[in-house]
Amino acid sequence: MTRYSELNLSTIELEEKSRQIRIDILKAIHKAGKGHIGGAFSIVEILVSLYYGNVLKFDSKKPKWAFRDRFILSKGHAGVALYAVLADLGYFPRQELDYLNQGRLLGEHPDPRIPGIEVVSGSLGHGLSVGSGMALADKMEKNSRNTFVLMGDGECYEGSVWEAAMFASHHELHNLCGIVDRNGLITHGATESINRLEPFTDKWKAFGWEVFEVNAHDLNELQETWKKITSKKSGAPPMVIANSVKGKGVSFMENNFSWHHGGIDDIKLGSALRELGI
Amino acid sequence: MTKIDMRDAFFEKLVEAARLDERIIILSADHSAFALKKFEEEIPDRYINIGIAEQNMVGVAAGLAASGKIVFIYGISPFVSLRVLEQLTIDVAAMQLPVNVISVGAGFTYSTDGPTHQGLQDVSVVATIPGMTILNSSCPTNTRAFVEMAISSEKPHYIRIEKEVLSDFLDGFEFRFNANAGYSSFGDLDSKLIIITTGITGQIVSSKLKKWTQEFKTSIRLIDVYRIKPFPNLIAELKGHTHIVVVDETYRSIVGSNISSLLLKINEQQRILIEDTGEIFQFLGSTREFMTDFAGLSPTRLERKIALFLGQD
Repeated sequence: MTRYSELNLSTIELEEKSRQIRIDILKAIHKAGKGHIGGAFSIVEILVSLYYGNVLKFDSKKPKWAFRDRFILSKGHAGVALYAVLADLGYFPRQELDYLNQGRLLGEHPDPRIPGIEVVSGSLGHGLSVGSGMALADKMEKNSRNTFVLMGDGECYEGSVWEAAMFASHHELHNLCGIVDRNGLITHGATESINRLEPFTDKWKAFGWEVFEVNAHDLNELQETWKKITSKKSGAPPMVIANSVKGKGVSFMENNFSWHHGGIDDIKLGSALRELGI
Repeated sequence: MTKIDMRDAFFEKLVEAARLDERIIILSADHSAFALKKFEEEIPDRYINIGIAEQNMVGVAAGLAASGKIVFIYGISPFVSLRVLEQLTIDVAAMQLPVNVISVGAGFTYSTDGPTHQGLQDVSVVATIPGMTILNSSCPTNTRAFVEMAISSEKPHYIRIEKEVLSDFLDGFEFRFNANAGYSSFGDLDSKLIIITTGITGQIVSSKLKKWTQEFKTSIRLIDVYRIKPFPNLIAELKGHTHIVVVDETYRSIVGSNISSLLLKINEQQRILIEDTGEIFQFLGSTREFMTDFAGLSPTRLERKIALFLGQD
């Protein structure tokens, strides 16, 4: 049984885990031929801090453990990042990462056939509603667990996100934590030049959420934020605006929307791995 | 014969079930009904008016269902089908969660409200969702039975309930409801003509069955399909009848398509006439009878068409 939530890795260990996870993501996408590298790299520290930093309660050998916290990757296209974490935690054999998108366990977008995955995701704008239903059920049953929903900033163009935003705030789902990976880029460019999202924090505040703005790659800051959020016992739902860098960790991928989706050839793989310390 | 509003038939049964089963929750997109009010008053903790936000309603329902609840979500037909097609597909059907859509406003029910409110497309659209059972109310007995069918299966359902005040078809026809069959049948097994209905058209046709038997000088078999998906096995029922008529108050009849497919398998020399509304946007507001007549589905219009159909031999 791997209950990492009880381990509470140090910041240095979390940083090292983030580096390893990025390497696993790169190798998996290289073998698959293509994948969503940019948006997977931007959420690595968020995932690592949640899963290895004593935040989420889970049991990798009992994925359906009744008292687990729920984590929904609503930006399902970054599934490979979550797969890398789940494989490392022992939800399924690590070798499955070598067969991403090759007719085995792991497809590009998550689904609950995969141990550790709660819901189907891929089409954007669903996760916050589903997570609201989960959090509402826990509130009704007086369960103390939490539900975390990680969205992309581009996902917040979807109107359904704001339907859920109203609902969660009206029902004071303090046990629902929204997270937005605010990397500022969608497939074909910057959010602010394509269809402005700012003032983004104010929008969530106006919808009744308690907003926490953080650096998505600062593990200390993330850990401090999760502590505040998981200690909430009532009131507004928390929303973490995680300011991130798309492609974070590999210089030629960072802030470059062309790395949203695609393949990586052997030469670029070598360069990227060298930057990641291999 | 006792008549009852189909919404009351459904919700009264649902209130009974919810008293015994604490997993049952109802979400409404700001839509109500007399008997639903009873649920709201008696079990307020398990009734949520979610506001006019159907996409969120389906997602929240999925989240509740993934947490062990059995959820019924209520709204007007197009808004709980077309508008939420992706949510029903991804959040509900793909995970086979016990979320049951209660869709009111089949066919021309909201006859004065135009195509924005009419349920002429919902079945065709929802039928494309893998693993979604579709039930279509046509009488109090099947409408009441849908509640238990949905709860006991713990799978997704799209349940169309009528808004009309109806009875269990007509006196003189033996009515035996079988929850597993997916259809009810009436009349002569050896008839030349078989008429297949679904929803309100079962009531329209059954009300004329005796008259038409005399007019057409032939006995008639009536099949009322209340489970559109999975479509019932009607091969044995269809065999031997030379003339098959399908009557369905939708743009393009899924029941008609299914019957046509079955006839290909049977491979007998059978003629088929499918009467649906056709692809019309009817913005004129009037009574349901007017709209049905305009679409060619009133008893008078059907009588003429079936007479012509039978005379084609």
